[in-house]
This record gives sequence, structure tokens and C-alpha cells, in this order.
Amino acid sequence: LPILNPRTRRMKKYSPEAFKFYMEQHVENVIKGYKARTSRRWQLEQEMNKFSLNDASKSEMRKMLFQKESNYIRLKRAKIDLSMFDMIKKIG
Amino acid sequence: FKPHKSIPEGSHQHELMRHAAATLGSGNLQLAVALPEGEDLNEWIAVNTVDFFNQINMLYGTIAEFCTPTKCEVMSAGPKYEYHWADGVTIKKPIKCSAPRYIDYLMSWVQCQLDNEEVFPSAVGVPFSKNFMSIAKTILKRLFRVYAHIYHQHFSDVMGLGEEAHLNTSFKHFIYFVQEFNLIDRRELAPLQELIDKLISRDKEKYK
Ligand SMILES: [Zn+2]
Repeated sequence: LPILNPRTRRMKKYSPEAFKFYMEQHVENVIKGYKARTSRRWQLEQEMNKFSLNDASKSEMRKMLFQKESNYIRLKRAKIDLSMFDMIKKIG
Repeated sequence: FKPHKSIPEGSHQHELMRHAAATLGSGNLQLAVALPEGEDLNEWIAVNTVDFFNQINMLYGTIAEFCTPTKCEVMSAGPKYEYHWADGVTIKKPIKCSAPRYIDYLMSWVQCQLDNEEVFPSAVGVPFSKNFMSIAKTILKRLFRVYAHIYHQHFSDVMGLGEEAHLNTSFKHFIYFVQEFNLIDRRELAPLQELIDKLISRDKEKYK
């Protein structure tokens, strides 16, 4: 067998309680996140109609919201990676 | 991977089917996998791929003590499917190895991709590489094999830990996601096809 790649780490052990807690929180957050994002999008339309913006401004505002949402999920991904790293360092 | 067609289906499949109903009830995950309006497809796939990796990493971490080189001499998903490891770069010729070693290789390879800023940029404004989609597909295809191994070889361990609903929920979310964007070939999903059909048909009933 080839020698283990230096990047290979032994799989870390997790307690079933930790996994269960993580999954319960995660699924709840996925559904909540979906609802919140849908509602932000809807709210923007409401607000824009209230101020009777023209089509060009509306499309500009939508683009801004999309960009904000997109940046948010990128930062969320970066944060997850970092916290995982910390955990591995502390425990391993 | 090599399907072993000659070996008959074990009875453990029925065990899986009986427990397919146990999921965490908190709304329809199928709605939540769709690409949000205005979102970049790569960004959406990236954030979800990281989530699935974290879930599978933790899940396997709970049963790792049962997945030993003696108990799981080969990386299999039931009697019909066996996987040999190759990453196409450092290991080109597929090697036959124990499941824990295979999964170690696999998860380390995925971690390596997720940590690569050129593939998974983490700073705002940095674009994805041109081959992002093909790498993401390979990651998800390989992560599926960990689910397949756990379902086929360690479902009784999962039941013993009382986490079958959590596993089913994680897997169902994964399947909805890969099906929404057609990220894994149907033939790769074969080791768990029956379970997939069952999990999804249950939701169709529930959210009619
Ligand atoms: Zn095993």
C-alpha cells in the first residue's frame, strides 16, 4: 500500500449527541434561512412599490439585494471553514 | 466502482426500508434546495457542498469506531458494490483498501479541495475557477459513497446510537440537492436507489 499522503488525517471521532444536535439545528436553519430569504425578496418588492420606483431603479435595487445575499453565503462558508479548523487544532 | 452482479441482495435492505420513514420533521427540504432568484449557481453549490461535507464528517465520526480494517476489509456498499480508491493525481491506479482507509483518503481529498482558495474562494469578489462544477460533482459523487457505506454496512450501528432519523434527513437533503442540479449520475446512486425512491415518495405524500 502507498504511504499515506501527508495531508491525510485520521478521522476525528464525534459523539452521537453532537451530531444529532448539529443536524437538528442545521435543518431548522436551512428551513428558516429559506423562508427569511424569500421574505426579504418579497419585502423589497413591497417597499419599491410603496415608493413607486421606476423599472430601472427597481432592477438596480434587486441586483443589490442579490449581491448582498450572495456575499452573505460566501462569508458563511468561509466562517464554517475557519471554525472547523479551530476545532481540529484544539482537539487534535 | 465495480458492481458485483452475481451476489444476491442481502436482507439488510429491508431493514433500511423499514426505517426510511424516520426523519426530522421541520418542513419541506425540497423547496429549500432550489437556486434562489439571482443567486450564482457555483456559489450555491459551494455553500451546500461544504454543509454536506461537515454533516458526513460528523456522521462518520460517530460510527468510526465500528468501521475498522478487520470489520470493513473493503470499501463496500452492500454485497453488490465495491469501491477502490484513486484520486487521479497521486494515486492513479485504483487501490483496494479497507473502508476506514478509503474514507480517510476520500475525506482528506475533499477537505483539500474545500481548503483550496482557487477552487472554493472564500473572499468576497473572487471568482470561481472554470472547472469548479466538475470538481464539485466529483466531491459530491465521492461523498455519496460514504452515505452508501454507512447505510449498507453500519445501519445497525446508526440505530444503536439512535441517529437514524438524523442520517435519513441528512441524506434526503443531499439527494434533493444533487437531483435538483443533476450533480451525480443515476448509475452512481444505484446502491441506494430503493431507499432514495422510498424517502422521496414519503415526502410526496406529506407535501401533496
Ligand atoms: Zn465500515
